[in-house]
Amino acid sequence: MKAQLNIDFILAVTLFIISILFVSYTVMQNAFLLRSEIDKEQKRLIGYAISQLIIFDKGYPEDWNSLYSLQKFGLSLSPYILSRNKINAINNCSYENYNKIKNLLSLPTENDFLLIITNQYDETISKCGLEHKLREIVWIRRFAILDGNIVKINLGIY
Amino acid sequence: MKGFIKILEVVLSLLLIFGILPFFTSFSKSNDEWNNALLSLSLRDILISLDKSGILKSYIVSGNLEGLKNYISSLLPGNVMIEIYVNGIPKNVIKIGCNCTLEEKIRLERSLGIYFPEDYTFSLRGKIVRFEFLNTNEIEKMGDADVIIFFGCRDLSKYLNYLNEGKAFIMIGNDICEEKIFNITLKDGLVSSYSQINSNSLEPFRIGEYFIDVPIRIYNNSNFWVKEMSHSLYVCIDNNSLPCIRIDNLPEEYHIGDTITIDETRIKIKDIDADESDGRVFSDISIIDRNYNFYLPNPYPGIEENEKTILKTLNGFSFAQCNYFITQHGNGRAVWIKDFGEERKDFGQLLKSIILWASEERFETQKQKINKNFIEIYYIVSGVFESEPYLIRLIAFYIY
Repeated sequence: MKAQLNIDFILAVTLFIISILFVSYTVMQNAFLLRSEIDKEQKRLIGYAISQLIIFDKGYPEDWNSLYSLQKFGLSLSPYILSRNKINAINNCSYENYNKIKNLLSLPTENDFLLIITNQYDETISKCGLEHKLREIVWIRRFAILDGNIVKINLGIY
Repeated sequence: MKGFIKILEVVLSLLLIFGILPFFTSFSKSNDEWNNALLSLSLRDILISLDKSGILKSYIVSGNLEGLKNYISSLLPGNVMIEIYVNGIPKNVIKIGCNCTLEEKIRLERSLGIYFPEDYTFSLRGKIVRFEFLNTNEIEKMGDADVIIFFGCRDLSKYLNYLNEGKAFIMIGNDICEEKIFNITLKDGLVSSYSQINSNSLEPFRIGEYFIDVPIRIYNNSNFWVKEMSHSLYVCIDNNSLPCIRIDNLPEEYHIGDTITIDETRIKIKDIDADESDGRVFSDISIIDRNYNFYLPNPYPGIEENEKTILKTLNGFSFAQCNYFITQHGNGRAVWIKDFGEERKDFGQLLKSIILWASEERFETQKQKINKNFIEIYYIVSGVFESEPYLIRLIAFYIY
């Protein structure tokens, strides 16, 4: 009877310890995942906000065609219709121009963006931004019209 | 016994602990929701962009839904599948089965302004629509028809499968039968002779939209009706050699695009053919007033007005009823309309618009197995001049 009690007790304690370890491990792992998920969500929200500016906002001055005169960022002529001049102005932007756009977007210092506008066949029309090999990127894909044709707006946020 | 209780305690603890676990593992679901939200955003962007660039209209008007599906698919990641459904577009070719005698068929054609083979075709909102009558008058052989029309009563109990297949019945007559299918209820009382298109309910309103856009053909030296009066139409050529029309032998000449007002009713001239070489001299006109008063001298028996009434009198009676979503799968349309007589071109214009509504295309792409976790997008293209309103329903899902 005594031996029987000890085996029960050992079994119960073992199971309990295994469960505690399993729950602790799951919680720790999820805490890490949660942090990563929050980070991704923030990037998605920033990306979405910037994509809205690209598609809906003309920027200021409204007919800007050079980053030198740009005071407010926006790439459209009217909602969903992009301006060829504005797209050309940001193409292959220098580090200085990238910083100017980043500043106009009030993008947090720790974040960077990469904007690639392609045609239907994924041929690049315009590209501006920084590429980081080690940092995780979140992509937002939008669509709009350029010169009567549909184009893909791929916006990556680091 | 004590050991058993301890094991029971452990089991209960484990149940509690594992019960809590799902709360910690909800991140993958959140990720799925983000993917679906972003896909939904992309699809809405694509539809708006296609609409603004005119690409959407070209696919829809030509009925090339598979082409549209391929175009949209080419813009999306390879692991996304889509299905497209379009509602609210009249067919380019409408197949009519007339379950009637030869005399009745001629009456129907005259009502619709059809006197020559060329009259089966007409222009509507920038596209060409053609009525094609089936070579049979037997209802059993009308499997190809979009709309089955007959004068007077029929026992339709054997043909309810036609409604399931998306066909429509149009009954012209003053007798009352098949009340459930045609949504008609008798009502006692004095019936007014004047009725207007019901704009308070969506489907009758949509028939009214067709009514003001659809033309009716009036041949030279023949009559058309406005309310209770008939008027004669003469096709002429003016001093600048332009085709024109004159009404009731009055000296005023009207040209294509002009709007005439007769008895407080606006009538638009959509086309004039004054070329006598083919023996067909005519004008295509349309009553363009939504609140036009349809006159019927002896409107008995009285039918009660309801939300599916097309033509309603001011004292709560109906001259025309529609019905829809008749079958359990939401298919089938039916219309009952009083017999106004083939000489009444205002009625003919309404009948044409009813046929367009009843046969409306419910386009859809080739069906494939849809994933359980799909997203659904609705996009409405509102009607603008020379274009029609339609609704696009797009279903998308990830295949892996």
